[in-house]
Amino acid sequence: MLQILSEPIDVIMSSVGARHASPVSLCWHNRDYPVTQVGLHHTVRLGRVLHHIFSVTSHDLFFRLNLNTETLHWTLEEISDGLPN
Amino acid sequence: MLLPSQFNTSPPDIMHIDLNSCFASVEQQANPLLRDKPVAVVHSNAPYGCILAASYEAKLWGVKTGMTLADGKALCPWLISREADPPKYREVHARLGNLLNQFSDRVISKSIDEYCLILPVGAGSSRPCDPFAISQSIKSRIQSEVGDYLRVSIGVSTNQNLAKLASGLHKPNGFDIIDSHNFMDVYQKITLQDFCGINIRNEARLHRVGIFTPLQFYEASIQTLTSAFGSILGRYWHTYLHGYEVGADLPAGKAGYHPPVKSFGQSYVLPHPMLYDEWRPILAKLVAKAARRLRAHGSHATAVHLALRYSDHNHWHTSHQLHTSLFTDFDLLAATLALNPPLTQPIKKLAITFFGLRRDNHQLSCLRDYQSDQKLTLALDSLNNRYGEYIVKYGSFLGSEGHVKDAIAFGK
Repeated sequence: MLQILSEPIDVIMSSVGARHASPVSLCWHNRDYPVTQVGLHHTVRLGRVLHHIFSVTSHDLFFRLNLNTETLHWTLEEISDGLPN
Repeated sequence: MLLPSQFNTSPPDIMHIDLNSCFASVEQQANPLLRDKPVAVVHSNAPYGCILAASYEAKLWGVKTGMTLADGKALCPWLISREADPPKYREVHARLGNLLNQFSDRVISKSIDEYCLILPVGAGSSRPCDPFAISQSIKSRIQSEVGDYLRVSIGVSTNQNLAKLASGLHKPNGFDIIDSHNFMDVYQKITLQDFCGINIRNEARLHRVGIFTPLQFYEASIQTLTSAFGSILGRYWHTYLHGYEVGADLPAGKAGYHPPVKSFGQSYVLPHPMLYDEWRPILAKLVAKAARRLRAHGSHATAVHLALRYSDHNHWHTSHQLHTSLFTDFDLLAATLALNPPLTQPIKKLAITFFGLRRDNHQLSCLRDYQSDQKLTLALDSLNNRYGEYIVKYGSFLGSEGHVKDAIAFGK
């Protein structure tokens, strides 16, 4: 089941070296979800604004997180349990 | 052109790399919960949405590219569908290209999921490096640096066509070489349609001259092949099948290399048959999209082509070569509509192409201030570049909302 969202979310990141950073935990609806795997990190440019998209899982849930590099706000764009709709 | 009589005996040095089930694999890479499950990447998540790529698990159920999602779900009720996300695929494509650039200085992107490269010459030798060792290194670095779930099939041969054929012999994650030692074995095991470029119609052409197997295709004379294809394609195929490259070799250049552009086009399959009043705003959006690419390339167009496919599968198309060069959306849309498409029948597909590209600026006119029009158009492009696509749009787009989404074209 996939749900498309556009909700603000709190994300804790860790950086390793100067060129690598990834989410380690997120807080959504007052609940903490540790990031167990980062599937893919890619970027999208909407106009001049660069967005970093992290596709991550927390155990049996998938989250698509968007970091707007202009506002530094995180948005939760998708949540899924990996099952058919 | 000197025609070969024997298979090319030089060591194979052209490598074709094909990312298996590209879009579906990238989705499975991004979302680990989708791995080892039947996944289809679709243009739209509606029952009529076209399947653009199926994962290997979905292919086992018979799901194929080009089916509708409803047909796919009929074959595999557990099919998980995901709408295409082109930026994700472009990023993986770019990362793969950057990685391949470290293996060869002659890399060319063949499509979103395919690269071709010339193997470097081994140290202290005039022969290419060991293709197997390089392929193993490429595969392991793709998994460690691009994505651990991504698999590539690699083919090596003496020309691009046979290298592509080799890459498709054992999917997924395969590696094959076609050279003078084994080409007969390979030709015995495949069908005519396994060759890239031989479709049902070309196969029928070959049947008409008595060619039914790849071995007969290989042994056919140049005269037979020329009469089969009725064009220079016969000579080309004779050369390919003997392991030689036709025309120019792979150009020197890194993975960012693109062959010269001759045209810019956009096409769109309508979600349901539409009459003129409904599809005209969509045409305006298609024209604007192609026009932006044209201007980003720094070109003007001097010719326009419009093709329509009707709901009864008939089609209409026409083109026109103009005396002036076109640059602005307004001029390009006006030139397209001046082709006078038939307006009465509902249509299912729209396609426009701008060609006859010129780099030079417009001839100054005493009747119209073209330079101001061009500056205004470039200013609008800048606004859209800076604040996002369609921040400023034309009134002619009204009614096209939700249509013409970002997509990756098949082929180059």
